[in-house]
Amino acid sequence: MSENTAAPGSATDGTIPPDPLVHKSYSVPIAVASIVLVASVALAIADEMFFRRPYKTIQRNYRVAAVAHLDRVLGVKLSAEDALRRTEEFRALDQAVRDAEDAAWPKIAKVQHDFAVTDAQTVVMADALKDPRSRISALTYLVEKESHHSGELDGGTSKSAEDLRARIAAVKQESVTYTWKKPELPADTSKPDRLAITDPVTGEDLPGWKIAPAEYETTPVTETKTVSELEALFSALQAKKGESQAALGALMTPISAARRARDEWFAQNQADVSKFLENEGGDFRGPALEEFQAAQEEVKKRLAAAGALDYMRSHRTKLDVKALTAIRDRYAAMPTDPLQFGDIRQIHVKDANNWVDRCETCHMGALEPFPMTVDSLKDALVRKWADEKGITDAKTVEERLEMRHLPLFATHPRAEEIFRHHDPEKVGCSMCHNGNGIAVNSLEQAHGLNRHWLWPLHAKEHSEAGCFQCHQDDMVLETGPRFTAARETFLEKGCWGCHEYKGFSPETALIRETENRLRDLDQSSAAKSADADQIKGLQALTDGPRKAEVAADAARRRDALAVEQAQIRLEQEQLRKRVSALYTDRQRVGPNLKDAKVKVRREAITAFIRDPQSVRPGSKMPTPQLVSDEEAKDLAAFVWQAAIDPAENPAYVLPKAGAGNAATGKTIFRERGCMSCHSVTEGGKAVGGDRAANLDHLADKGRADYVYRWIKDPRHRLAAWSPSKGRDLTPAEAAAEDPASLVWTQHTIMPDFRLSDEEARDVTAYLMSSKSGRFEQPAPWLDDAERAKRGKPLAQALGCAGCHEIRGLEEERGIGRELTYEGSQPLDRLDFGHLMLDAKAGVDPLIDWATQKDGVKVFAPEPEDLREVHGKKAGKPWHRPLPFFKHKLAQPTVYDSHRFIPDRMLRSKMPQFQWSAQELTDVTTLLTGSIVPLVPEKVRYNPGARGQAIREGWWVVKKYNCQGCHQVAPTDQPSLWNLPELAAVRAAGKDDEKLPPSLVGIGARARPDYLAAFLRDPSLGGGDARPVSTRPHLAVRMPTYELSENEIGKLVRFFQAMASQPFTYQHAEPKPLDADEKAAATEIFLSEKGGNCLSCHSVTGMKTTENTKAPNLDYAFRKLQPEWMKLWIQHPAKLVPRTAMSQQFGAAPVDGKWRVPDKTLPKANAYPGDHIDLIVRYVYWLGASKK
Amino acid sequence: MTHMLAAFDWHQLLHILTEPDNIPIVLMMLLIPYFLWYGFREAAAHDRLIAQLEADPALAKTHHRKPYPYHPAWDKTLHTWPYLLRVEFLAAIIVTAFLVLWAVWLDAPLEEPANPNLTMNPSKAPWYFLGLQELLVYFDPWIAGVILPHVVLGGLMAIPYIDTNPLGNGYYTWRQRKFAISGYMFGFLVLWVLLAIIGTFIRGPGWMWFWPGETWDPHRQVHEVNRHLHEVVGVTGWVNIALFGGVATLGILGALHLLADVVIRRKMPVLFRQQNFLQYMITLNLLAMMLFVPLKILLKLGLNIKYVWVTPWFNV
Repeated sequence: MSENTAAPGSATDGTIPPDPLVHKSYSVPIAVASIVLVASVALAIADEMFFRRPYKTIQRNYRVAAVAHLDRVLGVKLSAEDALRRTEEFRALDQAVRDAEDAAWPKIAKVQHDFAVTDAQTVVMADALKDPRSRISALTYLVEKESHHSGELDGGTSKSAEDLRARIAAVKQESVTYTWKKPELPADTSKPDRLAITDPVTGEDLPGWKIAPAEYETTPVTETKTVSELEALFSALQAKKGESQAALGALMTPISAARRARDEWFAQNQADVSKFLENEGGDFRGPALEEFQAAQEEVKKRLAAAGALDYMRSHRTKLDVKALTAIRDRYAAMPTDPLQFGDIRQIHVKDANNWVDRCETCHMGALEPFPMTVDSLKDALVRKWADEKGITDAKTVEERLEMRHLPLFATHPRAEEIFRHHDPEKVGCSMCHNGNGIAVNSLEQAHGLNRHWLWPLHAKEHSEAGCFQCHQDDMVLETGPRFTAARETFLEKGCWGCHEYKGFSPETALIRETENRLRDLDQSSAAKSADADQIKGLQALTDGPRKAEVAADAARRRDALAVEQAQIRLEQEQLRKRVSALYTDRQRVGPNLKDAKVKVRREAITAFIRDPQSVRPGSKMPTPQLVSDEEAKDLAAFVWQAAIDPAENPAYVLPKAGAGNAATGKTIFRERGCMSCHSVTEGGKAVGGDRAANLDHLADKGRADYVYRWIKDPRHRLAAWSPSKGRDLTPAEAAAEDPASLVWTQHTIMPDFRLSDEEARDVTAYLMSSKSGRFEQPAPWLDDAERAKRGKPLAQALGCAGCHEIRGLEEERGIGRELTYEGSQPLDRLDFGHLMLDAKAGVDPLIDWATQKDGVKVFAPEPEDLREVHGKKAGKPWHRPLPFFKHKLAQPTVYDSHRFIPDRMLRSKMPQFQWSAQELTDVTTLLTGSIVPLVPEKVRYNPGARGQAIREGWWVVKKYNCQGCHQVAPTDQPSLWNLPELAAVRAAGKDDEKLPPSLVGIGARARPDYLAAFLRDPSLGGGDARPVSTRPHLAVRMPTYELSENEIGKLVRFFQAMASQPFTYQHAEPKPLDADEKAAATEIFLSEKGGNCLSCHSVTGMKTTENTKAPNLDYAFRKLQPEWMKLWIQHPAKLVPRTAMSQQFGAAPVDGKWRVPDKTLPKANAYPGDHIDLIVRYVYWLGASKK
Repeated sequence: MTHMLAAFDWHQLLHILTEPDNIPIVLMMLLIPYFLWYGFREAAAHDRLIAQLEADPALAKTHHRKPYPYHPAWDKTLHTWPYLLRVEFLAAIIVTAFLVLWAVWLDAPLEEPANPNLTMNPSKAPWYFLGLQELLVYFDPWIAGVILPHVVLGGLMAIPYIDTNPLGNGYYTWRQRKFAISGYMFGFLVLWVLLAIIGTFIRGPGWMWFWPGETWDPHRQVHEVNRHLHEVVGVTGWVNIALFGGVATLGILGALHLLADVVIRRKMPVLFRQQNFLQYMITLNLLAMMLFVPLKILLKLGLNIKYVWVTPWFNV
């Protein structure tokens, strides 16, 4: 082909065709590429400055919202101040000011006018004098120079000097003409001209405003004077000005004083408007009080009219108008230019490895010193737009951009109570809330929702997870309801049976440690005995010349060994005491299975083990992970045969219960307080407490003799346990042992109600009266030894001994892992098994969260994910610790899914619990929050003695379920109040008659020694006899708990700390009464017109009312603190709001002394002193003298 | 395979392809075929011209020997400025714009906060080292990480000295440079790019083999028993093993030398004539080693034979 030799188009015309390489133009591609490059760079800059900084838009919107909110608050505050000005008090003060002003005004006006006249003149004169003065100065200078040269004063006598002097004189003689505007005195100077403000609502003038500055009509006056005359006049006028001012000052003094009084009053009341709203007028008395209340009503009406009353009530702020205005102006001045880089607000905590939190960059309102809620912001914005732009359509308002960000701008909820102890500047935000505090580029990044940040923001229902890291030793947090609920659930469900967790049952570990130590000591003691014997043996063998020496040496060594032995024995004794105390305090989650043979019916035990819910619905016992019915039979056989048989231990031979009256038993059961822990089903609902078992159909499972024994004496075992021997003893063996070395405590929280035999029989009859009849099949396999042999390793593997005492397995530890720091487990250490990929992809095996396949209702659907709020719905991946825990709790074998585990012992052993949705959320929160603390140590909670006492006390209170009967914290609702009959009592306000007393403030009320004695023995030495009780009218009884001294001490200190009492109580014995005092006191005590005490109270030996509904006063001297008694009698409802006791000594002291109001009682009125003091001393000695 | 096809995990594939760390490899997988195609297109054009010139020697004397249109009045050479540089300028602008947009769109990958106690699975080298990391499966780290890269570099440096083919300078051609191009393509595309691709897309958790479409399951268990060559044969005692390995390795290498020798002598006699002894030996060495690598790879993948030569100091 020849085409290559010739270029196209060249052959024909001979012209040279253009070389494409040379002539090809690249202009267009370069231009296009350049435009693309410039555009991409512009995009990069815009991306950097704006797209990646969503907080700029947010901050702009915040500015609008915050300013609108503050305007609203200020508006409301200002109108509240308007109302303040209308109060009588203010009007009176203001009237005083006006009167002072009016009185002095004519003189003041005159003086002011004089001053104005003088001033008008002097100003013009000064101006007119400027030029001559300047010329004179210049000439004077020359004269001075002449003086200097001539050495003479006054310029000397030379011609030039004279000439200069003449010229000066000439200037002084020049005439100057000036015009000044003379102010005319106004015609009426009787009253000042005041600036008025009209009330925007009523149109009325509001008082208390400033006097308008004086304005005068002026007439021009022209004058001509010589310079020297003018100078003289000028000086005179200046002096006159000074005099005028002095005169004015003198005239203003009374006015200033009045003004000061008025303004100070105003400032004091204006400083906190909401306090004004809630002020009960405690500082006012009489008519002033009424006026104050009227003014308050006025203010409230005006605020209500502005729609702001509730707002003000819930948005208390200490800031005054000036501070709020300053903040508002600062916001209004914030830049709105998108080219600004925005304000990155961060908290830098140096102590925590330079922790940085930038949450405030978007959550601009979170740490503001005044409260804002989403509703208040919305309200403010809506009003603003309605005013400014006339937008009232709700939809338009919703769609406006600023509304989208309102949840970001709200102040931190419960800011005051939380920030009091948790300064955000010291801990930041994300140490408690999780999330990625340092990110600001998007919500997903900042909240840690992307796939690489392993600690996403805690959802709202889990927001208290952050509390656990510092409050590891706390059981109850007043400001943390979900924290408290989580701890309670962990305690009640018995998680601590298998899983160690700090604070829950520390006795178990301590017992183990101590017993190990005892064993070591035993060994070392045995070794030393062996040494001693050896030495003796050697000694016997030795003979010969050195016998004496050897003997002496041997004796020395044996003495030393004897001393060491003694020390070991001493330590062992102490440790045994300690172990004994620990055994007393120790708890177990489930009942003692050594009693199974005498306690549980053969026919029911296997079904219960297989599925506890089938025998007792709502049982606390979780369903064990048994593979088959055969395994259940094996396990049941083992438990049965491990239980103690009456044939081998006579202690297990129980007395017969005998017949009892079921109806009486029911009454006792309901009235004595059993139902504060136990429940029965009535009308389909469980009535009573939920801490202990539901007792429906008890006859299915239980046996009457054991129930009788249990009710009579729940706190003691049938057979003593010997820690040193490691087994239960027969009565004969127990008698032979040292009692201090034996453990008699049954590990249950059920107390002893001190029932008589008859009462116990009746209750037994009642409880055993219902039987469903579903468990009548005989169970021959229970005696099969082969089955028991197979059952034992099963029991060990499934961890039964973690919750129950089982013979042979007493030393077993829980099979679960320690959970104290479970939240810190790295994600890679959590075994998702084959579900890991599903978790990452968002495929959830437990799809139907409402029910599971075995029909057990467990939990509610997943709460809303934040990403859904912004319209980006993801198949929510759950490859994170929190969902891991949630799934594990919901179905413990879930991570065994799809695994081939032929050895059944390698399967997950955690039993299946029955959770409500709230319980599941709470325990998940607890696990997620149990982390190694991120908060720096010096910021962590470190309570003083009081806080520590409260902390320790709560553990004991929760352990024994004190709140089943009593109110311990003021907001408690004891389970006992749920009983229909007692709910009616409460509704009628008759708490004192039927309910156990509230324990709020008992540390101030009762003497600590009494409290301790009472806790030791509530019958106060009376045993089962009723009359020894401070509240004989109550059916419900404080049972005997037989607490260890350790726990009693903790409780007493707890109550003292809760009532803010000092720990060392100093008892000041009241003075005894002399004869007169006694007469007066007796009169007051007994008379119906006086104290009328015996109309409700009782005293042994005095005639009292038929129905006492108040405590017996015999024991007041032992029980009550005298100072408290005084306060109580003064105003009972202040201390116990629902008490039936009334104020018998008037509403207020008279001349500092409390007196009986009735004037007809002779002896009482004759006695000059304080009657309440008298009565307290009387009541005290009533009891003390009988002692 | 049918089971795999039935449940092809597109999500997994998409995930691997869009992982920020892997984007350069994906781009490479697009660019390499493109440039290969472009180069070969040029080479084809040149080859057609060469055939034409060889057919007509008289034309060869006067022809300017370029496949592009040509006019005698046109310059035979062009100045770099502006003719080359303006094209380069345009290329620079386009590349810059592309990089800026890429940087704005795809942020540098930031994964979990570093935790020295937890290793990622799989723990992969940066993309430019993935070929070497893959090679570590087949070779001892000393060989794969030190010896072979040095041999590669040394071989590349040696190319000018062993290249005795005067043809093909300054223009694309296939028929005049078959040996050089195929040798280089084998060394680059197979022994580097292919290994890098395997390391990126095929190797998953535990460095196990996952075909595209298989989900990367860290819990996967495979049964694989690696044996050494001496174990297959049944040699015992470290001295014997070392000796056996030496014999085997040198034997294989020797065989490969012979193979290369036979092929060159038969198929490329010109080369054989042109190279001196040293050059020829170097050529054979390099060819033998280049063939040894895939042989070992196949031994490992196919027969689970890990090392051919085991000594206490090094393994091959």
